Amino acid sequence: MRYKLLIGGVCLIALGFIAVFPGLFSKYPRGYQDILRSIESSDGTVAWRFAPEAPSDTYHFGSDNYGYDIQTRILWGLRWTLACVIIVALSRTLIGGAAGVLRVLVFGVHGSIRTVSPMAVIPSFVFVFFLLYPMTINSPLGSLRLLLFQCAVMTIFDLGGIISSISLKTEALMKTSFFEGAVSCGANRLWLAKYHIVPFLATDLIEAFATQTVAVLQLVGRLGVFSLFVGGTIMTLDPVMLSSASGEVAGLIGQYRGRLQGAQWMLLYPLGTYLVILGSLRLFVSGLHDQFKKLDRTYY
Amino acid sequence: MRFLKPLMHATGFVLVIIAMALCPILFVVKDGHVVINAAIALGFVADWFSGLADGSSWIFSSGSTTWNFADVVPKFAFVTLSYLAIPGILGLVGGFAFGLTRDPLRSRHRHRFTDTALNALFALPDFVLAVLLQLLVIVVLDITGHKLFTISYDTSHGILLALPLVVMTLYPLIYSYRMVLRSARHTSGASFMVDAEARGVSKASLRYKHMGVAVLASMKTELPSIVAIMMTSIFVVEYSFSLPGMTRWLFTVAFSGSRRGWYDNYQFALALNILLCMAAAYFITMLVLRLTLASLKAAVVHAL
Repeated sequence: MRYKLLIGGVCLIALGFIAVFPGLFSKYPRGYQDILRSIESSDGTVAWRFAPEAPSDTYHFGSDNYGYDIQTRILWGLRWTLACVIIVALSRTLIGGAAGVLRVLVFGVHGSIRTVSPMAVIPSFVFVFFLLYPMTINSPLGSLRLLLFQCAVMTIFDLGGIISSISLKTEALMKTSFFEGAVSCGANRLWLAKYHIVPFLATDLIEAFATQTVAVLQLVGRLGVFSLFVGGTIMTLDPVMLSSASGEVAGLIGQYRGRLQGAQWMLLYPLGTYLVILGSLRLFVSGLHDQFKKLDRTYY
Repeated sequence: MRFLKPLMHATGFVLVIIAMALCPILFVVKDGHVVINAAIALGFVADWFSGLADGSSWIFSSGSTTWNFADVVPKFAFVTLSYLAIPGILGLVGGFAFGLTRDPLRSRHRHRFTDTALNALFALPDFVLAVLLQLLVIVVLDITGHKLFTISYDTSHGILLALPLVVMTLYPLIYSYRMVLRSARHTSGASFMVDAEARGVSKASLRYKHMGVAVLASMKTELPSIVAIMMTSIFVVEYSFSLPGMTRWLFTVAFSGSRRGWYDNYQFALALNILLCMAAAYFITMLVLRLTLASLKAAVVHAL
């Protein structure tokens, strides 16, 4: 199943490249807007074009109600989506992984976390919504600071799963003969963690990171449905609208969700881009999982 | 002392939900910094507790009209519970039936396409699936002139719409199906299965009375995961299909504004009341699904 890893990896590298250099692929500069334009034909007649415009040679993905080029918005918004996904997934993996090891090795707590908590009853994205709501709409924090705040909030939730799984794996490692041997020889906790636990958890942590990227992308998408966008939501009075400050891809789906009938391109292209990101991540995760399964992990 | 632990657990549970409802009041941005508005937030909690006695905690406004929570909650709760219980039952029973009808050991290759399709569907987030189904209905309508389903709720139709039911049913169905297959594969090698097969027990009896009962036990342990998936989907489904349920009520009235679709006003008491009702909905759904599994077990053991 190496093809999954290969296709997923190539797609993710391509998406990463586009996110870093959107200007190379974009016909127009960032934030380009043209609500009304004229076209002069060869016989001298002038025709007027109003926003929203359907996909054409001028606007490959069409334009929205306010004349913003959808393709430009997606290309420049991709970096926000990927940045959020990577930052949150990485933070969750590192914090959750460290907490999982510490939980067993230092505090001696065993077994998985299994209680009916409010986190199970009320979905985590609703918790995140309640925390981010006062900061995100017309935020005075600025898009970048807000992104970091949003990432911090998203990291806190859903840590339980990683902590639990890493704890269980640490427990399994602590029952192995090489670990018991090291303990008998007088190894301290730092030594045990550094040489007998963390190296053997590396594949699990990489896999957890990959799985978390998918989970975070879904979380960002759900928040977008409720008009809470990564990088901020701009609420304007005239015209009345809630729009994404960053043009982040999942946010664009939320923003154009009402475009089911008429001007469907506004919804279809961000949705297609979101599915490409999700599909690439899923393929990569699945390929990585299959690859790691092949590795000999006899210590479990 | 026996009741002390559950009581403390329940109190903690309610306190976390109160803290959650307080977040939009507790955290504010002042001069570009996030500050904690603890005094005002605690005042809201005190008002809510005192309002439980005098009834002011039940009052909320929607537009320019004032309503009593107790008067309107049954209507909203009925919609939410319908979209949790019906798809939950359909998903569990369907997943169990499909998973067990398929021979888990011998037909892995034959059902590869079905498994791949179901895995792909399960990988789609609920809000994407909702949009895709709505788009499909519109495309079919544009091409053929025939409207397959209603794409969002309006008062002329009943509360049970096909598309939200499909979205709500699909995830528990696929989850149960995959779980049944996994559990059945695991059970098929168990000593009681080998023993029964050696004693000449019929294939149907082996599959349903032996394997089926074992699979149902593992389904019971996975119920919290299934209900958690459904609790996430209900928020998205009610909002996407404009269903008049509790979660849509939360986002459209508790976070409401002077104009449609706006978030410029927050009603703490209403948000807290709805969240507590959603917690109750979780436990009711769990109970309904536990009863469903018990009924399935009785059916498998006695009727088949």
